[in-house]
Amino acid sequence: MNIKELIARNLQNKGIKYFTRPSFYFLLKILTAFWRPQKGRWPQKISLSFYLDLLHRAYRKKQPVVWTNVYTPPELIWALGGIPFMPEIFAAVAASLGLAPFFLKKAGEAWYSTDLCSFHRGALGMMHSRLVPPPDLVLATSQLCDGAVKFLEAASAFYQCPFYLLHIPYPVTSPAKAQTWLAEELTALARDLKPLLLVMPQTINKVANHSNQAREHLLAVNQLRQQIPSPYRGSEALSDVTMHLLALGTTYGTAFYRHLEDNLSERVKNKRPVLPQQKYRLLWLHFRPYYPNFLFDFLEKHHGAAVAFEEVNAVTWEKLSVDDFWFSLAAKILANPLWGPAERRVVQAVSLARLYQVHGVIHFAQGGCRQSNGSVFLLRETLRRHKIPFLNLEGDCIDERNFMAGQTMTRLESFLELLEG
Amino acid sequence: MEKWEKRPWIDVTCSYIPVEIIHAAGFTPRRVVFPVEVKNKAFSPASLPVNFCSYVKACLHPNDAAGIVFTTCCDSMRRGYDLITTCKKPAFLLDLPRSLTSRTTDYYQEQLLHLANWLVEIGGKPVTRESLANSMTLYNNLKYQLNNHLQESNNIWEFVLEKQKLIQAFLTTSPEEVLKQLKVNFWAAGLKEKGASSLKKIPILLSGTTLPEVSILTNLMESNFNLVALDFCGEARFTPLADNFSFSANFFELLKDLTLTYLNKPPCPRMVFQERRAAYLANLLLSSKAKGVIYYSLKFCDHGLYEVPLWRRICQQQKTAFLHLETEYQSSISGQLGTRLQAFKEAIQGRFLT
Repeated sequence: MNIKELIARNLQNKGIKYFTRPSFYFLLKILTAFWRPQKGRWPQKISLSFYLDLLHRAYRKKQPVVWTNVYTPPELIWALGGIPFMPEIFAAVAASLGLAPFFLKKAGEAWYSTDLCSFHRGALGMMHSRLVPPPDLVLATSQLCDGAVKFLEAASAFYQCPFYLLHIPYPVTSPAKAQTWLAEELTALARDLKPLLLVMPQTINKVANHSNQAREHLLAVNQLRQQIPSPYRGSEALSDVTMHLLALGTTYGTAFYRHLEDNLSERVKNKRPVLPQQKYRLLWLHFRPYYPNFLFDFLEKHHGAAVAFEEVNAVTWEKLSVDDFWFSLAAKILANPLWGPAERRVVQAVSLARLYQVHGVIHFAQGGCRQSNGSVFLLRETLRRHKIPFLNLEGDCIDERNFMAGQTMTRLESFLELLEG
Repeated sequence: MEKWEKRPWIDVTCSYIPVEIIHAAGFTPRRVVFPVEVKNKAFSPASLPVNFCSYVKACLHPNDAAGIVFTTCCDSMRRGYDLITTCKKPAFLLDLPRSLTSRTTDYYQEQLLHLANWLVEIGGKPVTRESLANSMTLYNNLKYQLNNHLQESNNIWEFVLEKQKLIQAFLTTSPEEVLKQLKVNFWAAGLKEKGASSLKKIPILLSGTTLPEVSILTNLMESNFNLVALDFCGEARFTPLADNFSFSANFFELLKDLTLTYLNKPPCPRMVFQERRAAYLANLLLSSKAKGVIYYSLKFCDHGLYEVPLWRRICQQQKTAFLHLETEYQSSISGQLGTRLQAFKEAIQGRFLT
């Protein structure tokens, strides 16, 4: 019996309680500390330690657990003294372990439609299975999608805990005013949460400094990725994005990106690309399928197509200010090109395509993601005007039942033939 | 031709858009209730994903309006706005907060000021305290009369289609025209049909995201259901101003009152917090004495889909049968849905609660 089968079998019975004990994660954390990875695998060790530490602390309940949605800056919750927990990320982790079908079924049993985003359905299934650390409060931000707010609202009702919604101004009219308004909103939120969380200026300083250091390393990593051939595997980068979504503001985040920078520098210096034969360079839009599948092997190994960069790894924000933390955090939130008119995303895609000298762009169309899929028309038209080949690849990041292997392969092959021509 | 008939149209896509401001700027606001066929070449069906809200697709339908106002009510609407701006049609996106606090009220009020300015940019009149007060009075009068009609016609099934027509007229015609119609046609029809009996029919509550279509109403009628309460976007969720409402002498205060009126109306599935919505639905169901709830949502509407577990919970608590129907906007009801309605009726009659 392999580990996946063991976990899946335990999910069905009383064995589930082991996964919700802090000691379980503490033990794994200790074991991880003894792991001496090969050169170049240190970021993976840091990432694993971070998640085990996060789960250990979340189950230990010494600090309040704050559920929030992806793209809420984690620095916000670290600075408030809470432990940020993004259930969508853990839905992806469950998918990578092959456990998503179990949780998706659970969500279906609770009457959540299969037309909803599978990131949220997976998270809802985990919630109904009680296999995630229960929140002390839920903090939703109205970016990027509706599903996140509704899902978190349902979570707050399920756990009977306070729910806070941070309205993120839609950056259409007067962006400067939007930033001031949001900064005031963040300040008010920090004040409101004071009785629940610990807001201490020294925490803010620490968080801002860690975040800024990690940002510098991430910028360096992104610059190294401009090298041809590519020094970093796109599939790994799309998994490691969770560190930038959740670990910024912590020592783990800084260490992870420092090691990654060292690793890529060494690869570039010694001319050791991740793929020996790199025929094409691609830009990837949106996330990837997280369940085990052939997609990246097919692209990288069979066709020598390297994903040179991903829009979700772009650094779009400025440094956080220690003196005016909330104002700079508001700027970071509003600088996200995935929030606001689709034109912002399109402009970024074109500029990344130029910067990373890609041969084509692939948009992975997550089944239930209206906000991303709705901008495909504009992406396609604009990229066509710039003579950049574009492929909209339909699939699902979490629900493998919506991944059509044969169809995907045919479409990818046609696209790569087009690049050849 | 009456004066109001020369006013250009402005399309609105959400019931949280204060139509009074548009009217005060010299336009006639009109809710989008068009057929789904999108003939605009810029937006062939291939332009939008298959799994995309059909109501948004309908909002992109080309027409004679001088402009269109969207809200940030959902992801699909935001993308609809993105698409329509590419074909140079005047469009405005109103950033609608989801919650009701003093800060979000101020924020929305500022957004409404941006809307008023945009209306001037596309050829409207500047909105003043007087023009806004006049429009508010006109719409309030209309809402008040309409509410009276709807309440009087309650429990009279034959009235449902008439009610629907009236609500559609309220949403898509100039307020002056609807007031005229109310005085002439509707009262006459009402008096004539008031004697119709609704006995032996199964009382149900119909809820959903956009207006119910005539086909579903006809089908319900044929299945022997009696519609005792409605909960739809733009319908039954509007309330006239309070009796003691006083029109402030200051433009900004008046605008604030209007903002509060809209944000305080019975919440739609998109708004938080869920308790407020849950309490509203539970009261509506309790007061209607319905034996069943039919929840009618559009395909790929996330807000609508997240409402299903909530409705199920309420129906379970009140021991009421529940049916969820999902269709495309303005598509006629299929035989399959007809069969489901029939099965639902039998379940209620047989006291098998879902």
